[in-house]
Amino acid sequence: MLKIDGLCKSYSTPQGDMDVLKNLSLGVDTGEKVALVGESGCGKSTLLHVIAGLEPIQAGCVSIAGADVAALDEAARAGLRREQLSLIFQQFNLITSLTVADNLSFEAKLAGRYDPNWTHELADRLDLTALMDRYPEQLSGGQQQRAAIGRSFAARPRLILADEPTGNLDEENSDIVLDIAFELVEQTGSTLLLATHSRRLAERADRTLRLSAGQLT
Amino acid sequence: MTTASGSPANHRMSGFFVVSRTLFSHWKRHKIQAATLIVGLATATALWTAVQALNNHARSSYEAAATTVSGASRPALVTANGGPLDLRAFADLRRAGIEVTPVIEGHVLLGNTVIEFTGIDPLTNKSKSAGPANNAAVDGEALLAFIQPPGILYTGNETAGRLNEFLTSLPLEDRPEVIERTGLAEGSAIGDIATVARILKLDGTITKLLLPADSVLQADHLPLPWNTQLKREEPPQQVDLQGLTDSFHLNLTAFGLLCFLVGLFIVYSAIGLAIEDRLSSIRTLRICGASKQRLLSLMLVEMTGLAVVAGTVGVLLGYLIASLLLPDIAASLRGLYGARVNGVLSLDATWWLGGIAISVLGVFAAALGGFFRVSKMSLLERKGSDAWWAKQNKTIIIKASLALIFLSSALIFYKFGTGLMAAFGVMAGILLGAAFLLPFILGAFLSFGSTIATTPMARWFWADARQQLTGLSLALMALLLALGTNIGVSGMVSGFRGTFDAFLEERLSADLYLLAASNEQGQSIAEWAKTQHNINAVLPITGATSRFGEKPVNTVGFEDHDSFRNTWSFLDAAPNIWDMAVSGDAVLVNEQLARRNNIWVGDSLTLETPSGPRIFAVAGVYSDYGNPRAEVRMKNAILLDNWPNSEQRRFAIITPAGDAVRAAVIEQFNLPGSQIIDQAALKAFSRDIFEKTFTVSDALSGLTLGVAAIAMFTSLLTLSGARIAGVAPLWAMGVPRRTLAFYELAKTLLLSLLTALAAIPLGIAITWCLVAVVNVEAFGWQLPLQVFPAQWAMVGLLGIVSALVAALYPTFKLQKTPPALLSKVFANDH
Repeated sequence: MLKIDGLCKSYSTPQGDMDVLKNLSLGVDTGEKVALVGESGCGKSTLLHVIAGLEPIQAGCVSIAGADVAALDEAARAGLRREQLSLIFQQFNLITSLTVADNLSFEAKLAGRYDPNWTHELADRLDLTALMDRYPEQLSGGQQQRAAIGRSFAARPRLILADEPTGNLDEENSDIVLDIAFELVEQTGSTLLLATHSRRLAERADRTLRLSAGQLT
Repeated sequence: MTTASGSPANHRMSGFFVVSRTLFSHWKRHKIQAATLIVGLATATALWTAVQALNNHARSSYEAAATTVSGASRPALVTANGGPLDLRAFADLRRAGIEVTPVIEGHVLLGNTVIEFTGIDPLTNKSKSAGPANNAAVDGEALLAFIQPPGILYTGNETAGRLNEFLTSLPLEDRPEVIERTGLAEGSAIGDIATVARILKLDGTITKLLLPADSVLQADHLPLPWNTQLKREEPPQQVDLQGLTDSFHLNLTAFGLLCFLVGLFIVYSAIGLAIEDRLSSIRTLRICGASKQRLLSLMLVEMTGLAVVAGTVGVLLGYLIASLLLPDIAASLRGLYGARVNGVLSLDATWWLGGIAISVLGVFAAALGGFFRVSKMSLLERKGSDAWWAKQNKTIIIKASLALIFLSSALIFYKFGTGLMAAFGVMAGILLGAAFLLPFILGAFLSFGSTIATTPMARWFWADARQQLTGLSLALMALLLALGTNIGVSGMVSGFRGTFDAFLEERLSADLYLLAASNEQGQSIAEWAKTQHNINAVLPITGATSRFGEKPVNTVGFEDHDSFRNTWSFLDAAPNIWDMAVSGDAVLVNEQLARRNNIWVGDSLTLETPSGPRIFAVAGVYSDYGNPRAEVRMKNAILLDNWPNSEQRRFAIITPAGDAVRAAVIEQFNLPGSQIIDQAALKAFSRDIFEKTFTVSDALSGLTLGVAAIAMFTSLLTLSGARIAGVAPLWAMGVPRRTLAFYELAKTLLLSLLTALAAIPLGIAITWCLVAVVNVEAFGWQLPLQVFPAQWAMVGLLGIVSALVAALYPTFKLQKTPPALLSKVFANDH
């Protein structure tokens, strides 16, 4: 599903270039759940953003379902995000002007894969049915993250890139969100690449990779 | 032991600096916000101070004119036939013990400009009405220099150059010294009677002999032969320039205030955003121990500093704008009221300080809400339970309620108010009411759009546009005011232009208009004209000044002729209007008199005549654009019966050979060309005055639109930072930046289009208010309400283009936002 080969990424800083990813390689099979751990600032978010085509690839190759991300122009990278993958963020990043119902269906409709029954089922399972007319700012953190997860799964993406999805939640809420997320990954057969600090969360993945000094171990 | 550096006072100072640095560092990080605030305030101040500069300058020019017209307020003796007066009369009358002083008046034409010369005799002129020239001339050496050849000419600062140029045509020994005197009316020069006589090449003749202001001497009490050759001329009724031009200046002031308010919208928006952005820092500072008083004081200092900087820039800009507009203002004041205004702007310190003061006041007014918020804020941030749209709805409802209050006040002013201030009250109520109603209208429309949208992007588009309404509503309100004013003013001007053209065609139906030097010469010309085969008719236009109650009225006599009967139209007319008017039973009155005194057909009015009050019936009311005075027209014979000494120097000549007749009159009667004007020249002159009068309105309404465009630009630019967080999730879900930029532009287009549409009814309301309320109060006449859809389209397009231009840079900025910056929105980590 995902193949990364010799990926390099650096940022310019006043102190000079800072290498974040150094000749990094990775392969993730379809349906596999991979946890990505590492210290703060080690480049976990950068890696997810590069895979999603949010940040340009400086060197190396990233391939999603056979498509070479580096070879795509911006519109094609946007198309790839619509067609193949979905992102779940720590900050939820719901669309503030839309209701929970609209947020839930937005990505699926955008991808042309909207299934009202599936969306309703998701709302039920995520305990969002009573909140469908509310706006994101009226929800608690846990509710917002459940809505963000629902939005991702409603589109039935083949690859889910989750960046600290429980980073803003307490333990109880984390567990609820994670139970549902892993259940849905199982049910939909999606591939999951999950960046986290949480050892507990990482343990639930099929395998755990540590990002350190720009390389995976 | 406490060291010097550790003293409580030092601790307090150090705390003060830490708090102020934290507070002020906001502007360093938000340079665009600072620029927005300064630009908005400077623009608002500039337009306001420009208008004030023009008003102050014009008023000081009127005062100068009032003090320099020699003998303007004194009775005089002139020849009975209107010709020049022999200097011997002066000697004879002085010998007879009559206190008279000779005056010479004349003018020279330099290209298109006229310099009017007044020659006085400082030895016999005991009045100070000759102003600074006389004052300077009455003492010692200055007096000698004034009266001894080549003499001295006092003139205004602007005229001096042209006067010197003209004087080079004189022999060197006859060339007087030109001295500039601030306060002397431009276009005039005052010198000793002998100096002026030399310049005007007069030999032993003078224009008039001034009597003391309180003299009651009549001509028949003069010694022989002057008792028959001279007549007493009463001082011309003092034209109260200040009073006449008040309406004009009030109009300008209203425009200036409107521009200032539109500018304040920007300032209010920028200050509101700056306070919003700093609320969390302020909260932290409060939690760390900074007192509310200290924070508010620092914010007050900060706002005052910004206001002084922006005010200074604004005042300089205002001076520049006023300098650019001054020539047109001067031309329209000269054309409308005969008021002379210097062409070089001179302003005193109070104007400069006043400009900065208004800037400071504007900032305080705009910051009041923010200060109140800071003073009342809780130390702990509490999340409200309302969604954004619920909060927005609350604001919209408050604004709509204010709109109702403003619109109701407009209605109250209209129904119960009187005077020009009430008329502006109506206009202000309509403008503010419409502005505060706009968010409600836009919100309702955008909500409706959301309900019919089906695709996800369409739903987001409508919902996001509605969400953005909170941040953009002030800029859109400013845009609405600017567009509404533009549509309103241009509608009024275009309607007026059409009406004025028709009016000129109607009133200037004769081919030539002639002003003889005296009644006798007029009589001679009329007799001569009757013998000319190429003159169809000579229609005398007699004139006298009367009073109606306490107010002066011009009475004008006319001759019954088809050219009047066929062309004149009336605002109110008796069925047999002309028959009534020529039979001597009734008069025609102008609209100004009718409206100010509520006198219409069927009513009567009492006019003062030399033989006592006389009652006339009103047969008709005619429009009389451009005339600030009340006027009554009646048949010549009736006027002469009632005012035997009336002026009989004016004639309308109907001829198919205008040029030939004009040339013949000039040659036959030695009449200056300026005294016999053909219809086309008169119409062109009137139209020129008309256009110049409205140049200023056009310029100010255009500038208001410019300010609104700045408001849009600054609002969009300020919001563009927040927009990145708003659109980044969509980008992450696969919507390309180009598409997002397109939607952003489309949102601005939609909001500005809706605002432009809302501006059309507002513009019509403003046009109505100007033609039916303000004009009536200001000038005494009402215009028919006309609408110009092509103009709406043009102004609307201009508004949309302004908004799009304003949106272009923020949109371009968004489209070009590097992915790294967009993805930062999601980043928790590197």
